[in-house]
Amino acid sequence: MFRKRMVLGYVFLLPFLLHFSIFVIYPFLRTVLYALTDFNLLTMQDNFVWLDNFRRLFADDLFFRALKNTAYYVLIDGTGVVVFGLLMALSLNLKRKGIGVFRTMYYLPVVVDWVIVSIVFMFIFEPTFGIANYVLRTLGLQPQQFLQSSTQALPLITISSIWKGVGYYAVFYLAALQDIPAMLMEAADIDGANALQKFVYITLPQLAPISLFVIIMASIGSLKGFDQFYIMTGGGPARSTTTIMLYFYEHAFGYTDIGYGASVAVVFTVFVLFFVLLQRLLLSRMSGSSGNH
Amino acid sequence: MLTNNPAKKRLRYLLSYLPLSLYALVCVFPFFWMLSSAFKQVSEVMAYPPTLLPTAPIVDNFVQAWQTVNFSRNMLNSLLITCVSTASVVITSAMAAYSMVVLKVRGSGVLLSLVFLGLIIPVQTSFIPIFMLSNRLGLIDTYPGVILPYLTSAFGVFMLHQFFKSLPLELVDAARIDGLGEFGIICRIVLPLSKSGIITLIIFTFMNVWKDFFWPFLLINGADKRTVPLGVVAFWKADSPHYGIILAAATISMLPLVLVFAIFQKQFVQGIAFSGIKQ
Repeated sequence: MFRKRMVLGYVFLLPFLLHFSIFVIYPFLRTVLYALTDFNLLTMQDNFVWLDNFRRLFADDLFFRALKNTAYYVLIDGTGVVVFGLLMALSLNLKRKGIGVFRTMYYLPVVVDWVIVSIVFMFIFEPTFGIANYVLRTLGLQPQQFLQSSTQALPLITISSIWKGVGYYAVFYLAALQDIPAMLMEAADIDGANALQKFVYITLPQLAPISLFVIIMASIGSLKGFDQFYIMTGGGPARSTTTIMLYFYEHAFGYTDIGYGASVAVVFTVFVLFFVLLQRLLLSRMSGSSGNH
Repeated sequence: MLTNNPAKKRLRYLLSYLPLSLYALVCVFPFFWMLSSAFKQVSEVMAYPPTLLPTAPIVDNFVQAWQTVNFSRNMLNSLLITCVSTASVVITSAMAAYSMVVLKVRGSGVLLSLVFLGLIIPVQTSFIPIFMLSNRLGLIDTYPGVILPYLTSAFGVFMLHQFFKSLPLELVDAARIDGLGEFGIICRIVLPLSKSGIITLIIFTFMNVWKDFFWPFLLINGADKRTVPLGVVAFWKADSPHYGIILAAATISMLPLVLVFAIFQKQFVQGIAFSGIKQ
């Protein structure tokens, strides 16, 4: 019986393991190998060039520009979703009649895909007839170029990303809020603490681990951002919204410079792994001290 | 603490609706604006100052968007790709998780680390080799080409692994002693108990595959295999239509997602919560 169960167990594992090896493990290793070659689909050359791609990469100003744009995006987006995600969760945690209706509305930006969000934002921030400039003019302010300005495009896409992501991260804050022991609040009530004091001395410290978690998760998510940039600006104007994923796409699939594109993917993966390790490290340290999460 | 002043308490209760409503407005207004403008004539869409609601609502934009973008085709494509992928993810994940948690195969620990590795490695890393593989196998611009990478998911295995672990597995042992076969255990005990977990995985996978842009964007060139998001972007980039039509197209492409969300809101949120644990 036991033997039969083991055999069945391995049969059940087979489809996943087979697919996982071909579509996750193999591509990962193959990408690293590609990164060491000058393989190009157009010229059909394929030589082992060791670290030449990485040398070229780190000598390219545009790559650093892309890194800088991505860093900006990751940083502001991460901060935004933490602040607003917390505020949203605090609001949804209120015992109010009809809170379910608000929750549905708050999740709406999360539900739709980036194509829809991009189009709507482009329409709202259209320089000549967009409603954003109408509001500015009504308030007596100068109309702006928004997505067509090399200084405003990146901040604007970042704002759209915060707007779209807040509801997603609020889910984690909401779960964490509901995990705070009621005992703590009761004890504070007995001691005569007011709402603000309770928030600062109980809620916020209790939410520290989840905040860290949200920041890093949002950072990894932002690192992968492609759709919104490709659709809204295509990396422009003047390269001001070219991110690392866009750079990767241009080289690997635009110029079919497979070897070079693979080296971008490798650097990109190193960044992601860095964030993952950082999170593991900080979280294990925090859970060691506070016993939460 | 302030129970001796019910009027003040009531006022504060009502006032708390103000920020709630304000943020609701921030979330909903862009969609309202999209919908409202999609019903306007070209001249009114670009009119200055803008009108909040269409003065004479028309459906021409929707008709034109539906035909030009070929939505009926794109929706069928998306439905096919999403359903096959979701079915495969759920079945293979359930099998793998069952094997690890209920059958307790040797090496389950190593397997779990492997699954974790799969969660960490960003999918972006694998685009080049999978694209090259698809190219060599002649799968560019085909349904199998798009679907193949979606067929299993480390996240799905992880999620159901966690879910199965929370089930009362003593029942399985008891059933085994009573002589119930493996098939009976799966159908009569484990599946009924894990209904909610499986539905969550279905909804989450369905929405993610439906919304995915980059992979189909890489693999599909022709118009007849486009997914819904791809069709809207292709229309937008190639035809540069006026905003009324493209907003109508965006509205149409939003309907299936909103419909699934409206029916399965609880599972959708649960899926997000699970996607958090994976990191």
